[in-house]
Amino acid sequence: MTEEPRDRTLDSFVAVWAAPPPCPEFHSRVRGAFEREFVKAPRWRRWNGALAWRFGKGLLGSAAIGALFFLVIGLAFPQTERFRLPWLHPSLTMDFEQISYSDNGTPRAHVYRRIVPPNRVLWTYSTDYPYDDMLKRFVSEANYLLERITSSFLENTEQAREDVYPLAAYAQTGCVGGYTPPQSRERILGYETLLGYSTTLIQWDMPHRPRITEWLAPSLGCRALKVTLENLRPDGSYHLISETRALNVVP
Amino acid sequence: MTDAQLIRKAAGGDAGAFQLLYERHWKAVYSYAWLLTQSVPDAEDLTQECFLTLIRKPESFVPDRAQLRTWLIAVIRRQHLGRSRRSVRDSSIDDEEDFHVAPGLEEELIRLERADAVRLAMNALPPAQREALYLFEFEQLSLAEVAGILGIEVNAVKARLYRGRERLKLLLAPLQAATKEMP
Repeated sequence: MTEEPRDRTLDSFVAVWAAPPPCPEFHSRVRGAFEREFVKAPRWRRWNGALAWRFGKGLLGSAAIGALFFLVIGLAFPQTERFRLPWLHPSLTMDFEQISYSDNGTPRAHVYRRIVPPNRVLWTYSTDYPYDDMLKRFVSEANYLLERITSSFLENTEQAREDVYPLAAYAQTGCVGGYTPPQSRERILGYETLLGYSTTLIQWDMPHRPRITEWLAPSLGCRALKVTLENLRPDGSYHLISETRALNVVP
Repeated sequence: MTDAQLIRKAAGGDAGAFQLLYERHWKAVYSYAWLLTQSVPDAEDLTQECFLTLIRKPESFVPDRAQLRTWLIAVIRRQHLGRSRRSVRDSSIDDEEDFHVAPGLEEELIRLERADAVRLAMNALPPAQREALYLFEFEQLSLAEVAGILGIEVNAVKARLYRGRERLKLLLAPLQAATKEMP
């Protein structure tokens, strides 16, 4: 391919041709756009920047002050129903060990803790896999805190009493006739004492589901201190697929 | 440091590398953007977007296939066509349109500063010829590079260059005469 010769007669014009200059702040604007999109700030600054951009710095500051206010009120006046911070005053803490059995009978143990605040919202997290469960714990705790904050605004004492009443009535009957899964049959197997608490052994048979046996403690609001799940074999016998038992209870 | 090295560094967040890259090429990119848009704000937008596109997709520039300036100019053109919803085909049609010197243009060219006059004369060319002439004469790109950017055959580039040059000379003739007459 023969290259087209340059036209020398245009040289003098080529030398003076120029586009009109850009506005004075143009170069800094381009640099700014690059830095916003590509320059890596520390992660906390990026999150902070993103949050501030989304919600506004004022709102973030207000949220922080509000959280501090609730903390101070909760600590100073724990008896104030409306402003109490339940997560600071758990009514019951229980550690559980759960042993699951695979099809070939290999056991797998799992330890977790349940915290029952006064409003009966369960807070569960595992203690034996700290790294694997870290995210779950974070989400669980963040969700729990959010629930408590919103319920502090919405819940009133009368409503709380109404919620508590059926549970109290259930406990008074020795944890019998409370929750019955659909198409299930409830049987009282007897009474045992676990970790110093009287329990009622109740068993549920459900079609095509594992058989559940629970050791329910009336004095703990009918919380189960032991639970077993069994599958029905074709020969009519049952084999254990999991057993969960409380290791300790701190009221 | 080569352009490719600077692009890699800039993509990793190196502001200094981006600055160097920008300083090397902004003028060519901006000038061509202005030639296409005839608007300073639009040319600025196109230029900014072009550089950010390069950093967003550094792998799309292959140094063995083209020099960076050519690549950037091609990106500018694609972005401009995308924005103005003109197809490449549309942009090549006006090549053959009739060319008339607007009334009063000659007097205007003589009256203006030389740089403004050349700019006005360039703007008076049909867009297809203006682009070919600019890329070849002003940016000193090769015929193959111009053909690649415009998406046409080399022979078509030659034809546009020929017509563009003739018309530009015609437009700038009064300016040349006025310059010669000056004491």
